[in-house]
Amino acid sequence: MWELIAAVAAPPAKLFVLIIVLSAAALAADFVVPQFRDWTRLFLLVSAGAAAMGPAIDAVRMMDGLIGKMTGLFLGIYPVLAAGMTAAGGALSLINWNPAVFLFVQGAVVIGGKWMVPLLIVSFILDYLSRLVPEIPFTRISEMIRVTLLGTISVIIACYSLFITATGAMAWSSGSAVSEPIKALLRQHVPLVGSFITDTMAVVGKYSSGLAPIAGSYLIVALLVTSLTPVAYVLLTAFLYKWIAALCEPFAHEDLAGLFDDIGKTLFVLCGIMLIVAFAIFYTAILSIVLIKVIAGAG
Amino acid sequence: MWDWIAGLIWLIGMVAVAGAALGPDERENFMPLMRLAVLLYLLGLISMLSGS
Repeated sequence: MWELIAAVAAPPAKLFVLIIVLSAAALAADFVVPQFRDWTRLFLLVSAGAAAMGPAIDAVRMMDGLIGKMTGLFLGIYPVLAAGMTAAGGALSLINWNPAVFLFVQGAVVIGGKWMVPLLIVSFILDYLSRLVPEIPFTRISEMIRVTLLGTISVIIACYSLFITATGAMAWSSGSAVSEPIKALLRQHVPLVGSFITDTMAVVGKYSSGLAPIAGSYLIVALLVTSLTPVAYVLLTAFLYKWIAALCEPFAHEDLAGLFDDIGKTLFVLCGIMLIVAFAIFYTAILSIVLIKVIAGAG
Repeated sequence: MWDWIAGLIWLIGMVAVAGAALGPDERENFMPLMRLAVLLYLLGLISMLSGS
């Protein structure tokens, strides 16, 4: 866990040091040569903006690579899984599984890779351009892109929940007295994706509690940790951007603090997309386990 | 689409450099012209979407 935090925190920490140095240089330049204030602002925004994009674009690239791998994996494994389940027969009655979820999981990942990630990069760029020339703003377009993406993500996650709960085969078995306050806390304090995270917890909890006797509790926990690690990575990066924005607001140029804030907001949307992929990874692994159990005759 | 975004970055970059070179008062006067340039560029996107 600490390794993950250290790996995530290192690039934004370097970025923060760079912002301090650049801001100090810009403030000194403004004091010494105030007639070049416009040029100083331009150089500061171009250099700090280019540096600020680094960790954010890295997170998007990681996401893009993950989606590419998942698409390849799905194309390879889903026909085999579907054929195996149809042949085994028992698998469908075992978990009251809806076969349409195959198509849906693959479609969601393809939509995520083809449309959501490029739109998110466009949103980053438009935010930056709005800060570069405030007289020509693109803030509403980038806000609209974010809202559209969040809407799509919520619809996809709602469909996932529907697929799992429509049959009523699974039940949330952990004590609600423990889980409800945590869910309320997350929903209120994690911006934008807090409610998605709690929904995920509920859906995954429902499914994994039903599957624990089949796949084993430790395996379920290991799968959850593996599939949710990229989500935690992006969420931490987003929070670090918000922290940098908050910390450099008193001394840095106000456009710079606003830019970091916008990047943080966009990364929260990326976190939502990451959740869809995490769902897909989790389902695929669970389906493979169920199929192997059925073939082995232990289901 | 990426070509269009790259072009937009170039256009806004040139506007930013021109704005810094002009200074605050002249920038105020030239801003309508710069906005017109962005408008024409956005029209380019619309014609690209319709396939013409």
